[in-house]
Amino acid sequence: MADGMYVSMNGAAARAAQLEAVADDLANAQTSGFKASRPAFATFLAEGGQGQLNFPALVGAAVDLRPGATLVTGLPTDVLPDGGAFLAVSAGDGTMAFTRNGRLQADGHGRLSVLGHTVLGIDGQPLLVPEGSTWSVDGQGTVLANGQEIGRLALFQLSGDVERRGQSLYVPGPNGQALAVEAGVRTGELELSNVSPLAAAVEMIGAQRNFDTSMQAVQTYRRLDERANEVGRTR
Amino acid sequence: MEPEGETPAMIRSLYTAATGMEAQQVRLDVTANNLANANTAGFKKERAEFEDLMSTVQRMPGAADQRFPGEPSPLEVGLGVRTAATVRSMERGELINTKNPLDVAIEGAGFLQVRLPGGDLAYTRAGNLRVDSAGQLVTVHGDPIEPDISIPTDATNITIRRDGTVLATVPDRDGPQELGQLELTLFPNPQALVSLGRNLLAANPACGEPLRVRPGEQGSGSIAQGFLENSNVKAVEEMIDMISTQRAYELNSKVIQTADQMLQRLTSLR
Repeated sequence: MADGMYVSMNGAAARAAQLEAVADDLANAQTSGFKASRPAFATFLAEGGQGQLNFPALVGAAVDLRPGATLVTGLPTDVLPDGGAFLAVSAGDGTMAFTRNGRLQADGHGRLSVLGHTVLGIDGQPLLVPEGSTWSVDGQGTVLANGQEIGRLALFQLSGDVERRGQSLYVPGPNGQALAVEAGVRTGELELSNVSPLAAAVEMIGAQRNFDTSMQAVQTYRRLDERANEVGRTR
Repeated sequence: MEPEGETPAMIRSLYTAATGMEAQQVRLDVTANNLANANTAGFKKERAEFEDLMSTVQRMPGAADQRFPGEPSPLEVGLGVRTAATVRSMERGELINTKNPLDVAIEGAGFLQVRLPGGDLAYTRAGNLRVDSAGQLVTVHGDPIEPDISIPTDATNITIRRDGTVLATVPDRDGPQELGQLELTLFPNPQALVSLGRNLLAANPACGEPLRVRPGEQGSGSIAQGFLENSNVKAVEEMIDMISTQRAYELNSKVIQTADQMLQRLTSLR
């Protein structure tokens, strides 16, 4: 059988994986602080095979860190860090994770949190608001409870590899790092997902057409093989 | 909902898109409830909050792939979305001047306490109070306000001060008499209150320790007599939400169609 069939098969498999990434992006089109994933493709040469055949494959999924659309909520407890900075939160296992979802809430113990994850201040400690106080965040990321300063939100810039942790949390990958930065925040605004429904829909159509083309190629190779068999037939 | 074990990519796309459609349904449910309560006194709108689901790591970061020498980056594809919570917006609603002496609005944070038939406490922002046949200050549903305030049926000129003191003129007594004191409850995390229906909210551990105060103290709001707090639902915002929900739902259903067509194409190979 011709090697080309396997090239086409790999192409079709890569497009199916691409559709999966698009499906995930579109499902999260309304998730605050969600960052779209961008699948990356590369070709590889078969080991010991013919050198001129390039097999396509999905090799990685990068996280698109561009800012998403802004929703003006007017709530003094919603924050949007400037310059693409991330809020630091304590993930379930005690490690630090980062999020752009700035919907702050005080939990039952008075700790500021985002969807159940405790938000950290610049000293690496949770920010505690006294019971029954009304609190807000100012433009410098300072948390004020009843007019008293109780701490400042820790802000980080992610660079290099970024990995997804789910729940709109991100952590730096093996080749990435998180650097503490001085940045302001915008209060009363929230970042929505940065998924562009238009781009995702176009990508979906592209993936499907490419998949169809690869499938067509598989069929063509099959017909070629059949023809080759007929040529060799003696009768 | 998710299939067990390893599934081919296109089938996973089907499930991923289904999570998206489910999330949009929840969002529409929330919007519908908000719109239905656009004129409910003391109603606080909710908003569905979503979070992305854990990704499947198809290749661990740093794991070598012999096909691609060099620095490997992780290959992880997410599995869709789920509704993390519905968050109640405690934004203040508009105050409506009703001129009814038993209507009170809370100008700021805090909730009135209501005693349920079972003895438990519930909390409300709806200040459309009444006096029942026994002279007890109650909600429109007849549940008494805690602490108890008795207003004699022949009392006139009921005044509720900004600090919650209830005064009235009673026959045979000189001047306004103090009949009781409205109190408010503050929560560290009022967004976590759970709706009981009938404008009532119930506390739970996630709200934190309730703190009972006199109106105007410790950051709580003061009482405005003759006013009612309308719901904080903004119809235009909800309509826009509804439109974007519908479109997002459609897009997710398109993913299912696309995955289905690709699967069809695959099965027609033979």
